[in-house]
Amino acid sequence: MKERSGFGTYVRIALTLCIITALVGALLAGVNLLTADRIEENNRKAVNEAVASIFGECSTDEISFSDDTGLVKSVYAVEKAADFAGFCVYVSSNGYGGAAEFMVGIGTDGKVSGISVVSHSETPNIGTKVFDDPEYLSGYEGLSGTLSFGNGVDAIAGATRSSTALLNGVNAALALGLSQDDYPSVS
Amino acid sequence: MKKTEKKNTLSKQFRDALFYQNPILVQLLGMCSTLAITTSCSNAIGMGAAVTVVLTFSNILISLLRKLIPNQIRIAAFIVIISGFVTAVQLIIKAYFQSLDASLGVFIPLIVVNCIILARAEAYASKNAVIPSALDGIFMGIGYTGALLILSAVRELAGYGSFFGISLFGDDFVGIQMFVLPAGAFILLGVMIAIFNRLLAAHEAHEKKKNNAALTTAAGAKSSETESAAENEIAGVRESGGSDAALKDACGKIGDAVENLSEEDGK
Repeated sequence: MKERSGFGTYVRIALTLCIITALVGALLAGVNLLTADRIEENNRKAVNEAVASIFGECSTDEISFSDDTGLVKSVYAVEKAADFAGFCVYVSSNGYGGAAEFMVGIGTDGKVSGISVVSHSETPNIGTKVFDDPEYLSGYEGLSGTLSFGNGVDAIAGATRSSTALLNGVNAALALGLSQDDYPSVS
Repeated sequence: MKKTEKKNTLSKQFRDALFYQNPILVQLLGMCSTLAITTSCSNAIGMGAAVTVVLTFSNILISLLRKLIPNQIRIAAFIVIISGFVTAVQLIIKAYFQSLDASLGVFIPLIVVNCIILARAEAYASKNAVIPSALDGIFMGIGYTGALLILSAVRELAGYGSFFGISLFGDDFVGIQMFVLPAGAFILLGVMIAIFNRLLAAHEAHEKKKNNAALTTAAGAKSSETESAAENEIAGVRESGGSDAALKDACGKIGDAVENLSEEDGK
């Protein structure tokens, strides 16, 4: 086939690409329409499960926050049987294999009440010693203030970056300085 | 007659995708995600399925549009189509297969730049009709999944002592850390490619020997008959759209046959 030259060719090229892009866009809009609700529900479920693993059965209320570290993604006030029970801080902290996301529970006393890992991509058998070991995670319980290694918590040998990711995340959550005053509906 | 011919090309396409042109072990395409996600068999199945779906649908659409897409922008058009399907697959995985989303993570969006899909679009779907292109997508996807599965089965077994997440050696088993890490994947993949190509070469040599033997017996009968049979073989290869290599192969066979004949004449 002989290629046509000149202005017409360019118009045809641009139009074809436009049509293909529009077609693919329409396809994606359709898929998004079908899946958006479910994806949001899944995300909410993941958050709820993480909160529930720290506080037990409870209801959550997302509240606004100001964070300097850039690690905090969202903060939830936790209510248990209509009583204020503490906060859950959802943090995303960079480890060795990318972002590790976890929930830091902070009790009414301002101390860490538990950590629940939502997702991480640390090295199997190395970084997992930090994020998949409930015993190590529970070592943070009851701590407050600005934490550092050797001061209540220890890093895991060989998994310094993973340990540091966890430490940074917890520190970011504690640095928010959340207190009962931040929870509007409790008087 | 025609039906069997069709069946033959179909089975040839299938065997090519699985063995002779296996996307990972022979064409060496899509190595990045192969090395990264083959830590467990379920990952391999998930990734293989995702790639197969994207490959099949993008092949179908590209084949449908092959006459409408101007040559100058074909790559751009292919990429738009491929990334559209990848995003759709990603949304579906996020919505319905959460555990897969957690374990495959960033490698799903990376299917966009997986060479297998662009290579098949460029080399096959943009030149062939819809149904062969769809089949090409499915077969290549199966070949890809198969290679992933073998690699990840070895890695999971050696690294975690399990198969599809089922522990085989009890809790005391200490895995070989290297097989879990990318370094082990590199070494294993290299060994696998070597073994696979050795087997392929052995198989090809065996086939050739068989064909040559058949030709030699034929040569014993009548020279003119042999030559016409050999010519028929070339025509057959041409008709079935065989590659240059196949044609050369057939030519070589004729050469051998002629040589055999002249030897016998000499006697």
